[in-house]
Amino acid sequence: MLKRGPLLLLWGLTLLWSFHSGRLDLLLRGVFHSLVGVTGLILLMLGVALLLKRGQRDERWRWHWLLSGLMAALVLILPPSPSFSDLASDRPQGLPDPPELAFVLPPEQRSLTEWVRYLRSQPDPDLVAGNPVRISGFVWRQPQGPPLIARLTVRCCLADATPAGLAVEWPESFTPKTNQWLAIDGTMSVQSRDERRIPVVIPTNISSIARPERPLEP
Amino acid sequence: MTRRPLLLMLIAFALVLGQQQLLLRQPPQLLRLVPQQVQSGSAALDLQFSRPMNRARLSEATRLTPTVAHRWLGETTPLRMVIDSDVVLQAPIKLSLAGEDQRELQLDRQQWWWDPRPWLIATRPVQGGEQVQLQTRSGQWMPISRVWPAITSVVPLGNGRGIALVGRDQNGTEQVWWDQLTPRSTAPSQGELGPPKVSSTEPLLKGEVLFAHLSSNLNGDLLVQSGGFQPGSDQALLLQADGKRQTLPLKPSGPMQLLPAGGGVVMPTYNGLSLRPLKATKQKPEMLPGSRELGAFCGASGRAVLIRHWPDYRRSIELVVPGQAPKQLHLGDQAVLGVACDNRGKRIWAVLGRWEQQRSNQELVLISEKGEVTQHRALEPWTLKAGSPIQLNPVKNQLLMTLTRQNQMHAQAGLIDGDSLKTIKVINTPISEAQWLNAG
Repeated sequence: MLKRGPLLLLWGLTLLWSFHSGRLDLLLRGVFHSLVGVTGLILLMLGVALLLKRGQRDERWRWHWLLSGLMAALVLILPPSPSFSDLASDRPQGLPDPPELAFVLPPEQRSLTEWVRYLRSQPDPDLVAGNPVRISGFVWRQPQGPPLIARLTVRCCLADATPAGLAVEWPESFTPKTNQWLAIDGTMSVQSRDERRIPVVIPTNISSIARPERPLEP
Repeated sequence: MTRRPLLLMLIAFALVLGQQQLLLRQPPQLLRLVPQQVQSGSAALDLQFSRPMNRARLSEATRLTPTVAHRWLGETTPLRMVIDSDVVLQAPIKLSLAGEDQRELQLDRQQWWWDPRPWLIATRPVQGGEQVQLQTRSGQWMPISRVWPAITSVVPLGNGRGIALVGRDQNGTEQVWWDQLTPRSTAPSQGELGPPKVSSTEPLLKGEVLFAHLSSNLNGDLLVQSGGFQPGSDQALLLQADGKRQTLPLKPSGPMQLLPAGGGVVMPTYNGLSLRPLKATKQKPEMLPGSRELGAFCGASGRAVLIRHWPDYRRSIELVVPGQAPKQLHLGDQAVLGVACDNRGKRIWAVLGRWEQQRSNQELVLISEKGEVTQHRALEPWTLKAGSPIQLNPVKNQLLMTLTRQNQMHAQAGLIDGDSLKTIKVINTPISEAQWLNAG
């Protein structure tokens, strides 16, 4: 029967496996990964200590331990597969402060998030019209209008994720699929939509890519 | 005993509720107007409000006199009004501001005046040496610096809030000073508009230096590169517009220039030009190899014009567009004496010179971004003073040059139309060098 020692062992292994396998990349910012790893190690050590402790056999079984064990097993068995598009639609739009502003980056070296940050700090998109763009992100479905190419930024974890999206003039020959990860090469242009000047990426090349190992950006 | 805390809680609740209801009914207010230099038009103004505004309603309800093509940018607050780049302004703009915030509360209709036209400043010979003076709209000159035996360099701060200068004393040593100005380019009435007022004068570096080079960006940051009398005393000091100072760990092999939009610097190295961020980052600096010098930045567009020196003594003019290799606009054996470009890098002006029959024949050319010469005009009888800049005033579409002519001791400021290249006026006042000071 599942008791405290084995349960702690199981959770410790779950956390260590998540740390080792890269699953945390989908849930948590990189700087916090080691925290999870250390927690897993502590749980593992506590579990071993409890197993070695005398009198553990007399411990009463509790049903919520079983639930917890089941949960850990499910986490181990089922890899996370979040819909970034749905998540982005449910989140507020305010981007967290960047860790470091480096807008003198050559434009083709700016990530999608850096582009969005730049365009929010500098509301005159005509200043960047014609700049080369080389970005990657997932397709973010919009309730109205064409989908955006987007990334999720996080302070800590998926729970505080904030979307950063850019409009794309999708070519007629290409149908973007929600949550599809794409790499886009092109140029930045400015279009007037609803009496607003909007920066729009004009793609010259769109290629489908695998989800990056670390899809969340700081 | 239990009644008192309950009463206190009720009072606090009522106060919070009252404050919330009061704030809910408070109409939006204009907090400040800030002229913005980092923009793509001919002039721009940032409007900061106390509440998130409805931009579409503000745009509909606000009137500009004279009516000029403009656009509103930004989401809620601040909002930016950008005057289109092809608009030429000859007078201040009357801004009749109205609109509503996102709660549909009306902004009180109010009038403001905005004069985005830059000021002409010049280093003028005066009794006792030289002085930087500003020409008012009526043509009068007013001093904005103290008198120095000689002024070797003047750099107007990009935000119009001052000038930095290098003054040379009788001993030949140099000092770096800063004259702080308070702009008066926005005001509730036209009568309150006027030239900036000198608010303070102070040294930027302690003591004297052997040399100093200055550079400013459109945000008003100032880079002071100086070298003292001791070996290894060279330093690059960045004085940010917010008052912060920092010494940059850079060792350039020549004068550095701040990028107009801020955040970076162009510095000459032994094998070309290097572009690097001011803050230390992991990225490697961008290098542009070859014998090139920076001619002019094209506003905050990220574009710049370079002058390239070839081994066979030819010169070329190149346009640098972000992410692209430099594009050659002109190649010839004429000397390139000065270049300028507009805020978008679409029009490039150059003064080309050739030494013939013991005198310099100079020509001003207007080149498109494709490299086509669309207009040219001989400067005769004038010549561009060696080492002086050509500067564009985008608000009036006028080029400013420091011109000299044969047998004339002092130079004069020349205003030239940016499209026709016709001379509008050569100001009949002896100067050493003329520049534009942004209205701020």
